[in-house]
Amino acid sequence: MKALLKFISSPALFFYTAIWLLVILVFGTLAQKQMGIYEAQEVYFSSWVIWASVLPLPGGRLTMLVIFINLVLKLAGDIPPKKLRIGTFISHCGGLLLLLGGFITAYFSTEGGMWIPEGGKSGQFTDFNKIELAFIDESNPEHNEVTAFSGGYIKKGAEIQHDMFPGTITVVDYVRNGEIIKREGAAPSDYVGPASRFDVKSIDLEEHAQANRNTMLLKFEGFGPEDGVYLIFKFSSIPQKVKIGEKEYAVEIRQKHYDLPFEIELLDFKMEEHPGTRVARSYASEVNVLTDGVKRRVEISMNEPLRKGNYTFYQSSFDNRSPVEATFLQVVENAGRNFPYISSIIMCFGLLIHMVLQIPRMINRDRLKKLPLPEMEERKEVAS
Amino acid sequence: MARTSPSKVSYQSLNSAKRILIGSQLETPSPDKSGGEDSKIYNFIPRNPAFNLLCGSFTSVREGLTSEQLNSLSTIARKGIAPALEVGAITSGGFPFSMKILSTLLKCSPFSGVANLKSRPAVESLSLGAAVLAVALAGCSEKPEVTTYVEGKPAKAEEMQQTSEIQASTEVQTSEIGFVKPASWTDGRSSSMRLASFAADIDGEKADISIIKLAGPAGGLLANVNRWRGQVGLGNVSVSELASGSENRKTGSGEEYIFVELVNDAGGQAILGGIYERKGFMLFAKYASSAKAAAKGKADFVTFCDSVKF
Repeated sequence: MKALLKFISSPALFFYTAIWLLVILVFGTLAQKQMGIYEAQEVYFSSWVIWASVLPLPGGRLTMLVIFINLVLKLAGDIPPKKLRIGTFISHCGGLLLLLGGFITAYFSTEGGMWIPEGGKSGQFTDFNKIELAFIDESNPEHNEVTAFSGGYIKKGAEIQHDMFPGTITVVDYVRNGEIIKREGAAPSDYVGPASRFDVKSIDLEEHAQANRNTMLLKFEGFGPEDGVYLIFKFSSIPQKVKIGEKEYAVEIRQKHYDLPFEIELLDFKMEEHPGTRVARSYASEVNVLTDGVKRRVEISMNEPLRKGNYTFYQSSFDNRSPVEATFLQVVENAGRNFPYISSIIMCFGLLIHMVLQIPRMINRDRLKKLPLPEMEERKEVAS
Repeated sequence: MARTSPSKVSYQSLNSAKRILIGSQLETPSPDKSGGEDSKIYNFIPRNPAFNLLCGSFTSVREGLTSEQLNSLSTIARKGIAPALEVGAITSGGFPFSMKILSTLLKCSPFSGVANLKSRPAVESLSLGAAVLAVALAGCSEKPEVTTYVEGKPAKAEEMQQTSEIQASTEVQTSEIGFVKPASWTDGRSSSMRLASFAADIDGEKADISIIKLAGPAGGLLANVNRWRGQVGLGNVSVSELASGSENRKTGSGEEYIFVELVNDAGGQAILGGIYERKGFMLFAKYASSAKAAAKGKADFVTFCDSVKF
């Protein structure tokens, strides 16, 4: 046990894992061009294992966890820290906090966007990368009621069961990015709707995950007359309708939706252009933030995001060609967003202390250099 | 060729791979380096037969490659894809390092340059905590979960809701088909091609509704939809786009048909269509009008299409 702890807390392990992290960083960054940003992040940085064909290699997340454990144990071994080492001890604590923030961000952050037309308001945003299978009840004239199944269900062979379903839905096939093609020959007799006429061909992933046409073949069993295999695909302007019980549901595969604990109302979208061109120089959204009926007027511009709770809203894009102007806000929910700031301050503070504590030693070293050689050796011995 | 010692093999693999990655010419490594730092680092290799075998295989593979093949590997490596990572990791030390970790973990042998750590209960508790954290995090992939929420209706759906009031209609039976004619429709211009023809007046704008039956596949679904698209000034679409822009509907008697809505906002023209593919013939129901009139008359036309019986 002692030997194992020694190994796990060794600076050598930190050294090699840090180099490995650099290797992953280089390859992961290069791979973004071919695999797309999200996919490369998932494969190289957010993974526990990188599969290089049949060979498992430590992924970014595993590597960082090893570094984290290494630092924790190293610090635990250094308690109480020696007087001259207090600065490095504080800096290491800062580094540990940075890694902890990284884990919080990796597991509890969400990134998406929201369109708001001028005069309109929204309390929802959609994820850039994650998808959901949504059953939308449109019977209420005021709003749609949605039952959404997360990405964990969207895989081949998955079975979907829910209280609202009289039977079971099985994912017969799932394609991350598909091209809809005309079906060659007759479809199996239980294929209904577009599935009876169209087929799907898997194609390369797009650079941005939200541009993929995720496509599923869903088999409905135990739904009475609605039984059959349906083709559900993203970007379908007219969704597949299925009658479940007394209600008709639109079945869609789409970007995952999230509720905000407040609403944002777009009052005005403003854009300035470079003189004589149609190129935007700056653009901003004047919005009302509506929290429990209380309005707060804020301007979100290109370099001045709106921060509220764990959410940050960035002015990202706009639409000024449609009859009604609209703004696009990028939404980032990150519980660990303050960690980099706090840990950087701690690390700087630690380094500063370390530097100050080293000053007497530096002065002594200079003095020693000026002394005759025998006396210097003698003093060194005393100091050691 | 003389067989090299395992430690030398690993050194050669390491260096040749480094050259592959940086794209330089293949050179024979100088033998005097084999006893240097690298062989010291990998001195556990002779004790591991499996690793010996792997290293020997890698060297054989390397020796069997031409310079062009090595350069190709270098190109792959620069592209940063998985094979490159494999080449880079296996040959530039990542794999030996993984083996080293494994070997050390299994044997728990002291490792050079380790920290001066004292064994104590707090450290053991921390290591246990870290292990629990690792297991907990490992299980944190996207789980199947169900959420329910409400969302506002899209503007288009609201518009349709306003125009969905269906007025009194009449049932019509021709020699070929039966359908329900919305009350607001009047008889339209007759033609030898048309099974039936109607006209509608939407706030002063005219809509022409026609029902045509053609034998056989009639050129196919895609060609006909693209022909209609051309009539309203829209470009052709692919099968994928047709699939995503068409609705598969069922008539009241349970028969399937395809509903398309072709609107050219810029030109102000629109065609709504119901296409019934049947054995030996195709039936086309078409609603041609301005975009504004089509939006208001859509509900009536959908009701009509849903009522068609053969």
